[in-house]
Amino acid sequence: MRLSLLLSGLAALVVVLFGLSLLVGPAGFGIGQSLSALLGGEGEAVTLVMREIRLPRSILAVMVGVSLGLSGAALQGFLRNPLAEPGLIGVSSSAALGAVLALQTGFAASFALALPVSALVGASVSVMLLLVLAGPRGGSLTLILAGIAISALAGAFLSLVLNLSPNPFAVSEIVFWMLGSLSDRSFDHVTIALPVMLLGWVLLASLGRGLDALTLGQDAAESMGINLSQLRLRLVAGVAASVGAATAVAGAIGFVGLVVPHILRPFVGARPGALLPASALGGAAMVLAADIAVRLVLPDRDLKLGVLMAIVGAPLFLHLIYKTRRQMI
Amino acid sequence: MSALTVTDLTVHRGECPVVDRVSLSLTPGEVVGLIGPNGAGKTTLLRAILGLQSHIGQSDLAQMPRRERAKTVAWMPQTREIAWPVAVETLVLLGRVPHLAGGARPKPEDHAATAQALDNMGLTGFETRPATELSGGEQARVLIARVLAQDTPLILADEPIAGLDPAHQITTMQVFARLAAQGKTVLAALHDLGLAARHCTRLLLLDKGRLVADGAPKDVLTPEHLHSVFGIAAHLVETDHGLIFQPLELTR
Amino acid sequence: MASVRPSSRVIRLGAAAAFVAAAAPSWADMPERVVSINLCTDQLAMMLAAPGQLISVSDIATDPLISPMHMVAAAYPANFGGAEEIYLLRPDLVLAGVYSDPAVVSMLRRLGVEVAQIDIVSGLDQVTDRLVEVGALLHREDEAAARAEAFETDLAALTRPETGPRAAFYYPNGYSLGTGTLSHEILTTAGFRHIADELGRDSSGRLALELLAVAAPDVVISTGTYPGNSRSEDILHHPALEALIAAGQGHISGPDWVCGTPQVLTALSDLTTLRDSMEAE
Repeated sequence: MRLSLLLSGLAALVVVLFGLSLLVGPAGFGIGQSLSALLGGEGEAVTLVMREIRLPRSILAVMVGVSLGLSGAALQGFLRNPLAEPGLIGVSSSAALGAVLALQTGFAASFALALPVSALVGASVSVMLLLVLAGPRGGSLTLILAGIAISALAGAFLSLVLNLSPNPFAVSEIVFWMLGSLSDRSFDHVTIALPVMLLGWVLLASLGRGLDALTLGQDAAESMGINLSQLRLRLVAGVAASVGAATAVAGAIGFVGLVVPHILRPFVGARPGALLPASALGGAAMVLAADIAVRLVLPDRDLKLGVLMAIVGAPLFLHLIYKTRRQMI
Repeated sequence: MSALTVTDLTVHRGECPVVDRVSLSLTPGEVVGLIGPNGAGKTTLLRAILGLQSHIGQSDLAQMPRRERAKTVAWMPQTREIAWPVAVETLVLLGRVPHLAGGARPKPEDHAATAQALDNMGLTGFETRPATELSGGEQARVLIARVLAQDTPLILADEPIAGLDPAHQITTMQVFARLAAQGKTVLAALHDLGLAARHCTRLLLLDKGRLVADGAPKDVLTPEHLHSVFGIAAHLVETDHGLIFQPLELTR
Repeated sequence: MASVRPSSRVIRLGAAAAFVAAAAPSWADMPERVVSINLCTDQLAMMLAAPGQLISVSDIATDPLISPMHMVAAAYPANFGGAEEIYLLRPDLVLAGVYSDPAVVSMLRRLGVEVAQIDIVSGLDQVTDRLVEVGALLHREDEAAARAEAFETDLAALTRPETGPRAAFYYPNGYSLGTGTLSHEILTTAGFRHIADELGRDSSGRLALELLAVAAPDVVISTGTYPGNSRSEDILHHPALEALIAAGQGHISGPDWVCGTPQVLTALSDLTTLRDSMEAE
């Protein structure tokens, strides 16, 4: 399939889901009422709901989805392993730890972007650790084991920090941090996340050619003029920035970076560079769809996004492990 | 005019020199075979020449800026990695990466170079097949085609024809000869001494990291060298069909 | 001066007290070592106990956001509600809530400690019931009766007809109260209308911010925030909620709203002041 056709199709899907996301919510407005309030209304409850509750939520879903899809595709391309993704390898949990530390110590209030930057630092520590452990070619076994270790460590510290908080609500919020949720988000969250995410997206988008060349292995890629250490640096920074910012505002959402590249890989002819923009759009679509679903399935409760992602993603993960089991060891 | 100059190239692994003060110079139009027993240091030497391996000494390729080097030499590593099930054509097109700036799309001349390379390796018709579904020999030919598509004056290859059937081994060496006739240079590490003798204009014999002999095949494949480096005796004779080399027996 | 006949309500309460006193296990003396492990029983105990009778209150009794008598509680040693800890205090009586940890309660009883479980207050008419109940357990019936009477009088003075502004409760995690709660009664007694009635919500739970926005109350009653940070409290700073409060009024429900103690009168008078100022505009 031609790449431009695929990307247009995915973009159209994102637009449709975005529109649907604006129209779903506990306050059952009609379509006409919702849209006219969003675009023109002034000072009424409908306008308030549309502009301050539903619009930022939908925008954030797109931003988070792009970040996770793009990061998953980039990690898989660099490590040349279809099992790599930010949630599974512990990047999201480390980002969450960074964010929680910043919030609980009050650092998050010190300057506008302190929160996403702290999450970025947390994420980058785990990506670097992972690259050291998993070696030049991320062998599956090492990758998953390293991911388990990093996730467990980050999760444990996360729980510890929350338990030590003077705030009695904090201790029960580990569920939010580990499963993720977009409910009750506002434009405040959009504005703090966007700058850091954009930086991440730019860095990751620049990896396309290098990832294509890596198809032939590190030596061949280097001989074709790709600067591998610079590529690695841009990967680490890009994943840390985009996953960090996403996790800082929405918690750790797993499996998007695994499922989306896997589904789209056949449509881009398995070329890692082409998979980057496709996964960005696919990720946005997936998170939007999941966020719509959690609002339809349990409208009164705050069903965490991570629940739906795991229901879809974990079976796929098992399937992938089964398929690649001979190359695992 | 030199296609490649290397002076006193040395690579240490711990205490041992894996490559020991190797100097050589290649001119355009040569097909050079790098031969030697297992562990002689052929792969390490080639990677050091390219600047992929840290070394002491001089290699004019290693000193080039990255992008210029990529347009000067194409490298086919011994580990034939194909990470993703991309189409054969896409894989060969990767050889054009050094010629594509930033985010540029491949141009007609890139596709033409790809088609030419596929044709040279007898792969016309394989364009849309996933490269990972081909046999080992076919994959090797695809990877050679990538090197050809890169269209560089110099080609370095590590065991390019290992595992290919005889027809394709000969075809590949003939392609190298054709490229040399056009003024390019090929330096290939080879295990098969017979093929090396028949198709190379010059041989470099490496033993325990040292360049022991450098010259025409019949000057390098002398009984003394064969005994001291390989531990074999062989039958080497010039015939109407060219040089024929056949290992016979062990001498130690 | 002619003697004032006690109100019929107080007579009924007196009878109830006598019944409770008769039904309770007879102690030779009043309990000398009383421990309270529940926030609401803490308040009642601190209010009614004789000097030196109350030897420990729960650790949350000093929390200024939820304990009406947090300043007084600082004088008492704190307990964390563990059975071993309580037992080692050698109490004659433990005051607990009906939702206190059942494992702790049953363990204490097995160890021979007297545990009285006091129900929560879900209506203003139950405030005096609890006062009398705890008063009887502590053998401080006179003190209880006096406080109960004072409460009844002041309550009547602060009661208003329910024709005032519309109000809603919105707490961390979007938690909103239903019509079957004490806070609802406090609100309506002060004359406000509660949107939980309009929405048909009799029990408390999460209310989506969207639904609150559509209901557009005149007053949003919320709470102070704790030190440290939690995502649960983030919603209290949501732009949509802030817009609603800006369009109407915000009000903080302090610790006086918690537990059915006579302190609710403070809450009531705050609301009355608020209503008066709103109606003056």
